[in-house]
Amino acid sequence: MAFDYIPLWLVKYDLFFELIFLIATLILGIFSFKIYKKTKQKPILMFSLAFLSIALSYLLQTILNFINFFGLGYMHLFDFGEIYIPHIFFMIGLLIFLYVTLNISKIRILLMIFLISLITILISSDKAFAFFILSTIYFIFISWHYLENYLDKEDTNSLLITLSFFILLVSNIDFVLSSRYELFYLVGYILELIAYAMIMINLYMVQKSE
Amino acid sequence: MNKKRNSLEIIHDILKVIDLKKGNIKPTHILYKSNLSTNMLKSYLSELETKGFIKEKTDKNGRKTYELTELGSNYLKEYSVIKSFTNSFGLN
Repeated sequence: MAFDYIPLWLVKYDLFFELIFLIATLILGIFSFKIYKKTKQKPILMFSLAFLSIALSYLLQTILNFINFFGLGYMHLFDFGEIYIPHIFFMIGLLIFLYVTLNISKIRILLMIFLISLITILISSDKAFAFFILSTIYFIFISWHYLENYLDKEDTNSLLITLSFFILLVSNIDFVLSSRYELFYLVGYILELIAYAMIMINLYMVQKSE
Repeated sequence: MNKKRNSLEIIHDILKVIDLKKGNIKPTHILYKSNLSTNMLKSYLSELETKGFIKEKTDKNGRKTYELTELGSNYLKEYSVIKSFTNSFGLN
């Protein structure tokens, strides 16, 4: 997820990238929900909600890009107290991932982390920068979980997912750097695209395991 | 040494035992076949019944038996996909 630092020359590609990410996360959310319906396991439901929250974030971002691209006006449509609403849904998605991957037992802990994150962004003078720093921290812990999972399972599928989340972590770091160097913005998008492609390949392999 | 089973694997083992006996299995037989403690089995059977994977019945001698529901059968059919998905995303 990347916005606010977007270079002007990348605006039309932004629409394309966000649309692809929306489709990928929506497929993942729906597939996970189908698995939940078959297993009735709470962690799988939470996992599905995490992807659906991120998909909602991309949907709002895609609508914004569309409005922006076709000059239908701007932009404050999704502002909330100077915080971008797509940021909030993306953050909620990552926090739900943390809830599942770190085995957080109480929803209150999750709520506390959310409020701390929200307030940190609110009081920050550069809100996008604060958002990317926080999401980088979340990605570090999520990737750590997937590394442990791979070391435990040692199979191709878990390797793909581990690499995907590490690439998402690097792409997020790229978005942090993009405030100074525009090229990092594009690199961040390409890395994100690779990561989602790898997750989709994993999903295909999962379906083939039937 | 075998790895400790996760909850999805235990559920699979219980459902498979019930399926093999075509819905005519007593709790003691499930206990024997599923390799769980009595308390663990009670907890799993209660969870599976609440979530609609199995159904409790009474046989002609008045003894308690279990059978799979449609949801339980589907779980067994699609177990390889479920396992592959949860393994790759570390959800177990």
